[in-house]
Amino acid sequence: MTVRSALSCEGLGKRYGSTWALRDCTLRIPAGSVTALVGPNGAGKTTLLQLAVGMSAPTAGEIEIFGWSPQREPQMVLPRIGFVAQDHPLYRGFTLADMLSFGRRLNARWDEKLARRRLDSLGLQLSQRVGKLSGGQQAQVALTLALAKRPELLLLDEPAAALDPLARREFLQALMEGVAEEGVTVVLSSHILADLERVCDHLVILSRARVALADSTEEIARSHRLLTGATRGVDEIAQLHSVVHANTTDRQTTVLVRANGHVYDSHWQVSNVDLEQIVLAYLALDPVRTPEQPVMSA
Amino acid sequence: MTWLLWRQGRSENLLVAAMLGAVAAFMLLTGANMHSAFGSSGLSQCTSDAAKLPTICSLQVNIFVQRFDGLNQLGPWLSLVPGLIGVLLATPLVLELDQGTYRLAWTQSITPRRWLTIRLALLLLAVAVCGLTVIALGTYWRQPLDSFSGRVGPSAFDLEGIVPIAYILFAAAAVLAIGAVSRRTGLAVAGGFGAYLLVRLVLRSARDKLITPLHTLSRPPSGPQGIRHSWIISQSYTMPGSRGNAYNVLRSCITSDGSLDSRCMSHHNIFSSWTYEPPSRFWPLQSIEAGIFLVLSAILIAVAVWWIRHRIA
Repeated sequence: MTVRSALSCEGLGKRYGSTWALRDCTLRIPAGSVTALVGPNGAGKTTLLQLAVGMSAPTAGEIEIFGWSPQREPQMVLPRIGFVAQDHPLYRGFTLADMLSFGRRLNARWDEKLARRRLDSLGLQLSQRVGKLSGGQQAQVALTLALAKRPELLLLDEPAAALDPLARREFLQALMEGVAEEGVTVVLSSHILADLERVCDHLVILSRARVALADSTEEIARSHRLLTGATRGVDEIAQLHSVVHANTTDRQTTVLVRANGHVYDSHWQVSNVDLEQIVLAYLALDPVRTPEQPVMSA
Repeated sequence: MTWLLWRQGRSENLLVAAMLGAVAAFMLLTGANMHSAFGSSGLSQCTSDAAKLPTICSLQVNIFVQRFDGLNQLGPWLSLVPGLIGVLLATPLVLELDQGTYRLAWTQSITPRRWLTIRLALLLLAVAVCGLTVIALGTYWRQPLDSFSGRVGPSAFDLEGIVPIAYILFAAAAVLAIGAVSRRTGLAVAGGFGAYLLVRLVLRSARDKLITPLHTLSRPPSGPQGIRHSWIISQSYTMPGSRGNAYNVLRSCITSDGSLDSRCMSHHNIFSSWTYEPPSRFWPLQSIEAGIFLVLSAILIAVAVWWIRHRIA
């Protein structure tokens, strides 16, 4: 059975001047999933999201949203997406009533009731001016506008970055409540996984403009193993499984592998790793490093 | 979409309306004053009956011109108005790029291409409406003054015909281009207005080179045929066929009361030399100057559109 893709890209690349912001990106985000797009700042998360909403054109490759190109068929893509940019831009001089009017006039599928209900539950009055709201409230208003569009795909760029930990939790909770009934596909980017771990079921790790890993969290947790043993080389294990990260001290060697099937080796003690550790290992991965300089730290 | 543009540019639109309102109030009040003074002084007969002009009318004309000279001197200041209007009309779009709200607008159900098309179309419409308002006000206001000084001279030329529309458009286009490239509202407003002043000044000083002016000689004190309502670029004295300096000879023709003796000048073969653009060149000059501003505006708008579609998008 094939699951419909909400977002798919093939060899996607974007270059600014001589620097690739995103390169050789091939992935598929299934409809109905909640995907975390994780990577350090400058890894290409924002670039990928901007390509997805048609705000920038690919330098190489293709990207499709529900089978349509955001660049060539924006009239098909735009009504189906909700997008909140990193700094959640809003018209600062507008009242909330003006903001709703903006959404209503520019979107055929606008859900006024939903928008009013959300603002109400946030304790916001329609007469309040956007510029006078706190950062957290503005983020919530931006999310409200995106949700009231009734999108099939919701893309959020660092939605929690500007928020304090409490507001962050409330925001994510509101988000998940907002999308729970609708079966909306969600893609959220973040440079930290901590918040997203609980809400996402798929994970895309971007590092240095490339996709380091893309899979369901279940599959990722299942396939990654931490091997611990007496100090030794990792060549042998690297022939069978892909080594993500290896760490050797005088006393022992620990290796994180993406297992190719079952790991059975009497030299190693095999254990499970949690998602955050896996992500950190991938983010520490330096793809520029050549085989002569093994991935190792003393 | 129209609602959004109105709401988003509300302060700028109100400023434009207030400025046009102030200019209109000023021009209608002082204009009514001028019109009634013109009507009651009997000057209207002077302008229609050219034969009487030198004798009966010159005194009345002098009185009228002196009385309203202050208003006539306002011309250069009024030249700032189209620039300010153009800058204000283009500012909301630059603010949208500067503050990043275009990313909100472009991810609603309307495509960025359509968004930009509607914005530019409405901007052009606003430019045309404001331009026509300036022209209507300026033409009404200048009418008494124009009836004896003509429209081709600088103080009338800049407020009448079609050039005000082109001026407003150019100021708006300059702000758009700088704003699209820099995404800084302050820079775009200052740079756009600076570009407007610069190009206006350059073209204003080069206007007499757009169409080569006419040269003609006349026997003082009368002017040449057809000089009425012309834009007189320069007037001097010359002695055709003689190497001597006309001004040295001219000294001997100064009478005891300080005026020039025309018989003496005639005796020494001294002529008045005129360089001027006749009134028939009002529309050709308007077309050329407006055309230059339109072409420059089109280039700037093309730069802005390209930048927005390819560099920002």
